[in-house]
Amino acid sequence: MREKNQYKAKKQKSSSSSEKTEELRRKMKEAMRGRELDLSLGQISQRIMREARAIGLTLGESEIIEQKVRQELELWLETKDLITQDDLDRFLIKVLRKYHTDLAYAYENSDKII
Amino acid sequence: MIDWPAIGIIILTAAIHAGLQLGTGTLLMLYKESLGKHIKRRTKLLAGNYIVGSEVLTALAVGASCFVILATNNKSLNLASMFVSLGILVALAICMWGFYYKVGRSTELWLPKIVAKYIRRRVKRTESKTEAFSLGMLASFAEMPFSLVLVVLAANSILALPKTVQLAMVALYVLVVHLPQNILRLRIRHGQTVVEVQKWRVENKIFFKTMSGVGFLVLAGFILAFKVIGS
Repeated sequence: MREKNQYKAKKQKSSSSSEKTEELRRKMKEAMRGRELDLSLGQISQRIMREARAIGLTLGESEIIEQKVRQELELWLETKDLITQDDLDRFLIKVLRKYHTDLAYAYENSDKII
Repeated sequence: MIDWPAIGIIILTAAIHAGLQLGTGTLLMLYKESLGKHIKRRTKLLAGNYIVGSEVLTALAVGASCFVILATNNKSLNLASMFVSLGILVALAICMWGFYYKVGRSTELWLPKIVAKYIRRRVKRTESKTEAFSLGMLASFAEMPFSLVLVVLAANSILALPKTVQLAMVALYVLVVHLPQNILRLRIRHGQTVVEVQKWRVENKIFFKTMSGVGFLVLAGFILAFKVIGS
């Protein structure tokens, strides 16, 4: 319950969706190459939803997992100054594994089939 | 009189061709992408068209090989061509064991990066039946470095059979080659998820790898015994 309230409070504090996208883009500069990755929270959510639907979860289940992952991602992002694509993927897989192991597997291996 | 060794070679080449994983992997990816975006009915249609596209290209490749062999070698491959084919089969067996599959817990294949990326991009963009059909052809074509010698040897054996059964043998070859894709389609239709199928593929990767290599060597031995020494 306390954790839930923390989420709510932090969510209210956080800025609007487009600002978050910008923030994520800023943070996702690959330190070594210095190039900006073209990713947004919306795209991440969409990808999670797609993977969830692909493994046979219902729309409701997919949305619940997507929302929970998004909340945790937003909290995590606030603690970071700079992240790379690998950091983000690792974090998302860790969180997804908590809610649905098959979904985490599908997310982790989406480009490793061929 | 029916040439039984020729029929044996056709079935063996088809079985080895069926063991190549690019077509099956691409179909699995298509399922994953399509189920994430479309309703099941649409996914079924796309998968069906993908398989038909792949079958058409395989049949055309066998037909074209028959034509080339007829035009250049007068009904069957000469001894020199047979020896070259044997060498290629042994080399492919080594490739299968060495680097056809990438290391790690995945079913990633040894493909030029640009080809793999292109196939992945096409899978993600496949929305219509025509695109799925073309994707099937593309996957079948991308597998040609490994499957071409099998197709040529199958075509050579088909030409050794009476004309009345040649077409049936082409159909049999295509049927056996696409058996894994049809089984995959049935498994998903009967409730298995893409993740379950992929996990099964990863778990049995070493077995596939070993059997593919062994298959190429057995085929080489079979041809050496029945078509080179025995002829």
